[in-house]
Amino acid sequence: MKYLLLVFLALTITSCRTLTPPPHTVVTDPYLREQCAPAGSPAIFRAVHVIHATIHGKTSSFIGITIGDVPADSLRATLLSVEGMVLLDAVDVKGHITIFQAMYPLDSEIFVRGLFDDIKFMFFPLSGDLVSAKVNPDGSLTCAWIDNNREFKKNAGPSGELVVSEYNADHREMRQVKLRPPLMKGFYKQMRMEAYGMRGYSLSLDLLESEPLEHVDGLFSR
Amino acid sequence: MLALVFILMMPAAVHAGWTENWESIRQAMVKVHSISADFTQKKNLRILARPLVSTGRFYYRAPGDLRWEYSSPLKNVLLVHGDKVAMYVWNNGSFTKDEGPQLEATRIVMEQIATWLNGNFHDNRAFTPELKPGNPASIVLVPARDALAKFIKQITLRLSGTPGVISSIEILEPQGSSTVIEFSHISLNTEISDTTFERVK
Repeated sequence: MKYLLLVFLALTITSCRTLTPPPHTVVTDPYLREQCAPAGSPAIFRAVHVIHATIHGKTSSFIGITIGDVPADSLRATLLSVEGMVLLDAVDVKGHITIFQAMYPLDSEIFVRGLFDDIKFMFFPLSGDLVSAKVNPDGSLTCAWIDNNREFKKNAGPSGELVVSEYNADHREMRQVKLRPPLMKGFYKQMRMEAYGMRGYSLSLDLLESEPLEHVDGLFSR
Repeated sequence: MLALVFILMMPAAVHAGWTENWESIRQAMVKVHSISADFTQKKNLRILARPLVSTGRFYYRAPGDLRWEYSSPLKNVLLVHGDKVAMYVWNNGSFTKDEGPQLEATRIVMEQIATWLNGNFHDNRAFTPELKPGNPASIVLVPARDALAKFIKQITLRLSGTPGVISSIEILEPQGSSTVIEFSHISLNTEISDTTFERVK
């Protein structure tokens, strides 16, 4: 159980740093802005994944259900054990977190906040100022944003694979997620996230099912 | 949870009247030396458009060996052999040991329900049992402690029309969620090797 606590503490760490915003100029080229525009998950969605979380070589597996409303900056995350036991059920509405149900050691708000931060990193489109964009010789596209004192870079390979990285003020990579096609109703079939540092961990998400939603009526309430 | 489910679904015996009272159930259960069956598990949550369906097969051998194996959507194996409990999950092309919180929960439940192995539900302090006659008859288990009631509201075992077989288990959780497990292709008192409970493959 101590190991589990370590896992869930580690999951909360990487998103907590604040950075001094560097000076930057914004890309205005319409073609590059269009190419860099986020593609992927629908604005309002429901997705079910098999999740493997690994830290220090040890793996825990879950089934994750995510309800997302990008325009409303809201999420609901439910983690199930493989046999169907609800381990965590919580919502994040514009940063306000409510935990409906949680089993120790997943009942910490710090952990839940870190979880939602990871989910937004993987599922929500990048926002902020587009500060650089270029088409590489191999046909891939590299774009960078600065948002809320964090820097993000996205590399879209010719095969359709996306790699999104987050950097700190020292330009050290803090997190990276690889999104692998094919796309299923706007969702990548596989997602692999790595969080770096002493308490690094990895998350592997395999899509079971997904669907766009017209509304989230009642889905963010108990 | 799995162990709980397993113990509760044990076919009791194949004689008429086995559900008449607790003693007849206990007597029927002690006659079961081994069992295996396919299962289909349906998880219902209000936030899902449709149930999340899992399938697999389990094996039991008295007095306490268990193999509970999911084949889809995630390949996962729980092994209980003597006092050893281990869970394995299929990841990146091979089975790796799973250290998730569900393993700890399963271990605790195993300790709690050990007394049910002899079919005497009243020896377990975690649940208050009630035998409900009918067609089908059922056993209803309600958590006796608040700590458990936070996660399980009620468990209902529905007895099959076929004597000695429990056809399904329904686990109601707070917030309206539920898990329904239905069994099929049940084999009773056949030889099951040690390796079934010792090795993941």
